Amino acid sequence: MALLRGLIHRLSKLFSSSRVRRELDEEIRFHLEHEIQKNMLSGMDEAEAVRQAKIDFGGVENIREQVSEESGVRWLEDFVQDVRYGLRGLRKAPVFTAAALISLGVGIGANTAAFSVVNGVLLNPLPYPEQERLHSLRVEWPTFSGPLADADFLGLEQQIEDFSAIVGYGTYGLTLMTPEGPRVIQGAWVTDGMNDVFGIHPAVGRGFKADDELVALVSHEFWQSYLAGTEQVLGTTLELDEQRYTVIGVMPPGFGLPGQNDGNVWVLRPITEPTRRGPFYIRAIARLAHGPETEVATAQLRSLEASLNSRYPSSTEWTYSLTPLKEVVVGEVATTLLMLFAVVGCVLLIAVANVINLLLARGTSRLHEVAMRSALGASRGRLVRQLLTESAVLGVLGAGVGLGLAWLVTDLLVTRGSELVPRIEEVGIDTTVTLFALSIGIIAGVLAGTIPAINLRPARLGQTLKEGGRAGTAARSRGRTRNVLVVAEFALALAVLVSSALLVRSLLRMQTADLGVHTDGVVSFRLQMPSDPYSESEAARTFFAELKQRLTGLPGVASVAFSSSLPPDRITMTNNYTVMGNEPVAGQGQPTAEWILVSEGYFETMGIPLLRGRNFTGNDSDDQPRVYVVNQAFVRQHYPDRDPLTGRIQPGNWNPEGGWSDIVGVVGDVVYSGMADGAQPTVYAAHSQNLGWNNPFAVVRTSRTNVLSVARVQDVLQAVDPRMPLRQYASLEQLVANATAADRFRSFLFAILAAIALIMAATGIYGVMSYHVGTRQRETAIRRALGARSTRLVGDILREGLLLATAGSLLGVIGAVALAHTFSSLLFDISPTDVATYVAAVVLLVGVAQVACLVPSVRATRVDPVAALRDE
Amino acid sequence: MTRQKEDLLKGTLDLLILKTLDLEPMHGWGIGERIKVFSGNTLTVPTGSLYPALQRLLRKGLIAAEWRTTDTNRRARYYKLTRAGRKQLREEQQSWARASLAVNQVLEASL
Repeated sequence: MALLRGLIHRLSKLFSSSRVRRELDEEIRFHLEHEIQKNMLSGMDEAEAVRQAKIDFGGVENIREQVSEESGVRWLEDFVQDVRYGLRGLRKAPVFTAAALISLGVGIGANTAAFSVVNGVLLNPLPYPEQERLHSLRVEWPTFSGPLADADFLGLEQQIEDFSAIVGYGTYGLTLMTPEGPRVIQGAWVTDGMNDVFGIHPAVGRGFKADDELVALVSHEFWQSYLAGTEQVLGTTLELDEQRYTVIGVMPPGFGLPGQNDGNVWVLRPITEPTRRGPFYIRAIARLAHGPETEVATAQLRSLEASLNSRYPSSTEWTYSLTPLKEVVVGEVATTLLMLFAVVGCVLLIAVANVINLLLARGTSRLHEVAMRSALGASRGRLVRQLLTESAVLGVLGAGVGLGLAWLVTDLLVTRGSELVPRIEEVGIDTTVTLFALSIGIIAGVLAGTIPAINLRPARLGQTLKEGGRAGTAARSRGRTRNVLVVAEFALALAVLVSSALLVRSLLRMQTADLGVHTDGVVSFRLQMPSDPYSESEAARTFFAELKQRLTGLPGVASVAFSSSLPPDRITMTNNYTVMGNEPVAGQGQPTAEWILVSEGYFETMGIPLLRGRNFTGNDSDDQPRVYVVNQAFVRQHYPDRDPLTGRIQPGNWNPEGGWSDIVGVVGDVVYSGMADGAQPTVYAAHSQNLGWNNPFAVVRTSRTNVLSVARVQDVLQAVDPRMPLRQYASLEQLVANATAADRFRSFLFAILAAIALIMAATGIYGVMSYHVGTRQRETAIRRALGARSTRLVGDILREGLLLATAGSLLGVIGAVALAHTFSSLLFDISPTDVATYVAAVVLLVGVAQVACLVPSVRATRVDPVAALRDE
Repeated sequence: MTRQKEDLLKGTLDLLILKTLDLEPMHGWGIGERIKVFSGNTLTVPTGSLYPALQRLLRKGLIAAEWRTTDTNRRARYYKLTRAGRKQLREEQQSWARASLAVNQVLEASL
C-alpha cells in the first residue's frame, strides 16, 4: 500500500514536474517573506532584513535539487534526460544513425517477419473452439500409413466412447451445373459429425443431422457471391455431380476444414456398412470428450483394433494412430520455419555486431566529450547508464523501422505464399508481434551498447584528456574488440550463406532431376465424368474413344492418351499386391506400389521408353486376361536376378485361391510422388480393363510450334458431352513448376537473407578496415616517408582483412554444419556437408571481404606523409 | 563521515517535524519556527534540510500537503499528519524515549 502510494506520488510528480517546481518556488517565496517580516519585527531595516533572510535560507538552487532528489523521481528524470540527449545525439550524427538504423531495422524486420509467421502458423491455436481436443485418425500398418476405410470409420464412430464426435471427410472438386454450363467448385464430402467436431455451427440455417439425405452446407463467401446472400437460400437446391442437394445452412465466414482455404460447399455423405476392409480414403478427425489427453481414447482404440482385426483376418497388425490436429496441419512446415528463425537470428546478430562497430567508431570521436563529462563529476555508472539508454533508444527506433519492413514482408508472404504455407492467411502484425519487435529492439540496442560501455574506464578517460584525444592504448584494445566482432560477423554470415546455398543447389537439382518423361509439348487436363451413364463400361469406352478421336483430329496434336496419375506429383492410387514366388506368410505385411491405370499409347505420348516386352494394346480388353507393365524400380525390387516377363502378380489382399496376372512389359522409371521421393516401384494396369475408374487425366502431345488452346479443348469436350467441365488444364511443364513452387519460394527467401548477411558482413569489415587505416595514419605516413611502396601498403591491409575473413569463415563452418543438419530433411540429393558448397561459400565471403578492404587500403596510399605528420 | 552525521540529523529532524505537525497542521516556515521556539532557541532547522525532509515524508506517505490561506490571507502550503504518520510518530517517540533514557543512564552512571 505504502509502496503503491509512493509510486503514485513519484509518477504524479514526474508528470507535473513543472507544477512541482512552481509550488516549491511559491513555498520558498512564502518562507522568505515570513522570515523578512520576522527580521523587521526584531528591529532590522528592510534591506538588512532581506539580506539576513537570504543568508539564513541558503542556496535556492541547492534546495530545489535536494527536494527533487528526495521526491524519488531523479532516476526517471535522468532517464528522460538521457533519452532526449540520445535523440539529440542521433540527430546530430545522421550518417551514423542511418547506418545503425538500416542495420538494426533489417535485422529486426527479418526477425519480426519470421516471428509473425511462426506465431501465426505454429504458436497460435487452430481456429476451432477447444482445438487441443481435436485429433486426426489414421490406420497404420507395418509398411504403410493411410486414411480410414468404411469399416474403420463405422467402428470408431460407434465404439469409441471417449470421442464426443467424429467426422470423416474428403476434399475434392464438385461439378456445379449452372445456367452458363458446368463449373467446378472446391468442396468436400463430410459425415454428419462435422459441426460437432469443429464446434462451429451454421450462421444461417442448421447443421447436418444423421438422417439427412442429399443436403449441403455452403460457405459464407459462396452464399454471398453465388446465392445472392439472402435467407431464401435455405431449401433451394444445387445440382452437384449430377445430383440435387438441398442447401440447409450457411457456415460463418472463414470456416474451412483443416488446411482447406477455398472450400465452398460441404455435402453430406453417409458411410454404409462395407463387405470388406478397404479402400482407404476417409480422412477422419475426432473431438476428445474429456480434454486433450489421449490415454482413455488410446485404450479404447486398442480394443477396437482387436475386434476389427479378427473380423477382417487379412489385416492383422493394423493399428490406429491419434495425432493432434495442429501437428497434422502444420506438418513439415515446422522444420522450414524453425530453420528460418535460426537464419534470421544470425542476421540479427550480424546487425548487432555492425552496430557495435559503429558505436565504437563513434565512441572514438566522442571520447573527448565523455572524458570531459567524467572530469566534471559524472560518475562512471551515470555515464554507462547514459550510453546504454542511448543505444536502447537506437534499438527502439530500429524496432520501428523493422516493424515497417516486417509489415511489407508479411503482406507479401500472405499474398504470395498462400498455396505453400498452411494457415498463412492467419499471419499478421498483431500486439504479440509488435511487442516481440520492441523487445528484440531494446535487447539488441542494450547488447550493442554494452561493449562500448565496458570500454569506458575512468583511468583511460583521464589518459585521453592528457593525450588530447589522440588514439592511445584504449584505441588498441578497441581495435581488438572490433577484430573479434568482424570474425563473429563472418562466422554468422557463413552459416547463413551455406544454408541458403544448400537449399538453392537442392532446388536446382530438383528442377533438373530426370522425371523419366519428355515434358515438352505435353498438355493435360482432368476429366470429371458423371456416373450416369459412365459407370457402364460400354458408355465409358465409347466416350474415351470419341474424345480421343476428336482430340487427335485437332491441328498439331500428335497423340492422345489417358492415365489415372501424372508426373511429377499427381499420384492417385497405391495398391498392395503379391508377387508369385514371394507370397506373404501369416502376419507379414504386403508390398505396396504406385498403381496407375493407363490407356494404350500413354507411354509413347509421355515419351516413356519401353525397355522389355510389350505395350498395352487394343486387344487388352475387359474379356481378356489382366496384364501389367512395371517399371525398373519394380524390377529392381522383385526381380533382381529373374526375368520379370516370366513373373506374375496378384493385386490387392493376398488370397491363396486368387488368380495371377502376367507382367508383359518393363518401362523406364517415372516420378509420380514428387521429386523429393524420386521414382518408386510402379505397376501400370490397362485402362481398358479397369473402366470403373472414371476420372482420369487426359494427356495430349502436341507439336511444339502449335500449342493447343484451352478454348479448343473446351469445345471438343462440350461436343462429346456438354455436362463435362474442363478441369486442371495445364502443360506438363507447368505441373513440374508447380511441384517445386514451395521449394523455389523457400530458396528465394533464404537467398535474400544470405544476400543481406553478406552485405552486412562486408560493411562490417569495411568499417573496421577504414578505422584501422584511420588510426594508423602516422605509421603509414612514416613508412611512406621512409619509401614504402603503395602496393606494399595495400597488401598489408588486404592481408589483414583476409586474415579476419578467413578466420571468421572457418569458424562459421562449424556453425553451418550444425545448422545444415537440422534441415537435412529439406535437401534433395545433396548432403548437408557438401564440400563444394562450403568451399564456394568461404571463397565468396573472403572475396567480398577483399573487395570491401580495397577502398580503405587504397585510401592508405593517398596519405600525404607531410600533412599527416604535421597534424600530429 | 559527514554522511553519518547527516543520517542521524535526518532521523531526528523527521521525528521533530512529525511531532510539530501532530499539534496542528502547519506550513514549512512555521514548522521551523515552532521547533526553534519549543527547543528554547536551541535547535535551528536549516531550510536546506527542512524542505527535502518534508518532501521525503510526503513520499513515504507520513504527511500530506494542501494549499490553504493563512490568517493574514496569504496562500501557503500546509502539511498535516496522515494516519501512517501518526503511527510512525508514536513508535519513534517510544524508541526515542528508550534511547534517551539509556543514554542518560550511561551519562549519569557513577561507581
